[in-house]
Amino acid sequence: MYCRRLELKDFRNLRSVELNFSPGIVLLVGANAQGKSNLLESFLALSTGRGRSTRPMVDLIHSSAGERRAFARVRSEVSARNGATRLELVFSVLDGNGRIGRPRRGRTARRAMIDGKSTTLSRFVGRLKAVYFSPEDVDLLIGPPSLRRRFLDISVSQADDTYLRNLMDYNHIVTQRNALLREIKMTGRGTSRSLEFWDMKLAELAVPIMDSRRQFVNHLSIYAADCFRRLWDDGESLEFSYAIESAARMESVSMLEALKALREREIGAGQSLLGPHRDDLTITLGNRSIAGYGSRGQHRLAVLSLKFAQLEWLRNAAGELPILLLDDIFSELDSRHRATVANQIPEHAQVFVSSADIASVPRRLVDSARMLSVNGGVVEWKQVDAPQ
Amino acid sequence: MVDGVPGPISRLVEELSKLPTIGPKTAGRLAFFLLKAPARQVDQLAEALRSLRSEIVECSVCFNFSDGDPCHFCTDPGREGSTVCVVEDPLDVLAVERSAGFRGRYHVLHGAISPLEGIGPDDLKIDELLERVKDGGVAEVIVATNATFEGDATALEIARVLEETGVRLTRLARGLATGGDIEYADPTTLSQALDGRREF
Repeated sequence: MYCRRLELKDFRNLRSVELNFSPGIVLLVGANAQGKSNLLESFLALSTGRGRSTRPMVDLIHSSAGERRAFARVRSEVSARNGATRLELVFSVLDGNGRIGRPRRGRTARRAMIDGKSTTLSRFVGRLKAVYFSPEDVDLLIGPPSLRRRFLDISVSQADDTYLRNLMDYNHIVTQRNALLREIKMTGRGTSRSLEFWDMKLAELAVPIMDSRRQFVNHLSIYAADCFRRLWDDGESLEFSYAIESAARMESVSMLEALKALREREIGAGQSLLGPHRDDLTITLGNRSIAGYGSRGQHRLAVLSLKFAQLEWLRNAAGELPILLLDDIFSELDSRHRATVANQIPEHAQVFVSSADIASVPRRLVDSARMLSVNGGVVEWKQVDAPQ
Repeated sequence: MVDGVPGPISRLVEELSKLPTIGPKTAGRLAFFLLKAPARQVDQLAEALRSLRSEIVECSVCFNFSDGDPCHFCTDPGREGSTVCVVEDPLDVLAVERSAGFRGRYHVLHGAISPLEGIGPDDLKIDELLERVKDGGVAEVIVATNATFEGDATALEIARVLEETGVRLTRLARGLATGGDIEYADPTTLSQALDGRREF
């Protein structure tokens, strides 16, 4: 699939952007902090419903001199095997009463539209399938489990829209259940009996979520491990497993029984201690946890392998290539690995590559690329490369 | 409120914007509309607001809002007293009434179980429902709580509490919306519709 048109309004520093694309490689050039990553992030937002994981969502909305705009809008036309789709996602700031307002911080509301009709986020996510590569991805290996869970969730939900709906329901159940556990802890009011319903729902929704995640982890075990061997040819292998947190849970015991066994501890903690919201993706290199082992170079290539495996996963789900967003990933690699990484990029994919230093981008990509200059939030085709 | 706006206007705008679905802009528009409207219209509005609180009471049988106690649903001899429809809020009564398919009586819980909002079974009119069933004359309780997790939790609690009475307990069917395309139904709705299928 490919994106053939992109319109942005007040998306980070990109006040107003209108671009048409054809399939193929687009190179975004410009100095640092001009908006290249933001442009890539707008595709990520269309694809996953949110921006980069490390930043507050409200910051997607343009603000200058402390004044935030009321909303940010991303519009796009996506051409896929089964036809063209218009996608629109609006981020707006809500004030305390749930109304659109302009406080500096606040809850961010999202409205998604497909072909001009409002729709739920779970239906919207994955209409544009994209894989985002960034140097920050190394956090996936060394950062907290929440980042890896998010990686699992984004990968699976792009391929399967019931997954995201289940996950949203599940998170809602966990919030309610935590509130009840806290109340029981504080007041002694409410009993195990009042937990029964939430236990039941938690278990009911946890099972399909964990099953889907395991399928994806199995996929990683094959494709990411394989890709890593191609990128890093010195024997130590990359392995993955899905880790269920909690000693009380054994494979033989049902989730409901495990929750009963954990009852006292959960009340003591005032929160739900068992379920997909606590699980993790374990990544090992040569049988050791990769977080505390391996060189920076190995980490970079390991995380690229994860992303290429995600690409393959989405390709399998859609029957066509997702778009690739490469956010300045080459400058951190040595020249040999630049070339091997570039060789992993499938032909015929639509690829957006950002770089502050064009010399770091492998020739294979530059030669066939069209160039966009990004300067102070203004995005323009470089003269010779203007379409038609 | 903005400087220079006279106090009474500013106060009204502030009060109006506390209402659901009304923002500061709409509140301002309403305030200036009232300022220019005929005095009689404004008096009628003020009177309506005053009598809302002074004349409306909670029915001691079904806990719906009413201008008399018991309410007209509970006293109407044309309604079937043996069937009680349990809803979360008074507005739900209006919704069921609009359907015109129900000629029984109501029981308003005034909410649904939601630990997040600090609402537990004791905060709802569930014990009152049990008393009502125990008092006799009720053959069927239709649980019409919302199709949300909170509504489900409430329905389950009601089922548990009423179990000892042996009263017939039913829930609203879930499934496809009228005018809805099967093609566009989400999998959850569709599977519920399948589970709840009926003989022709």
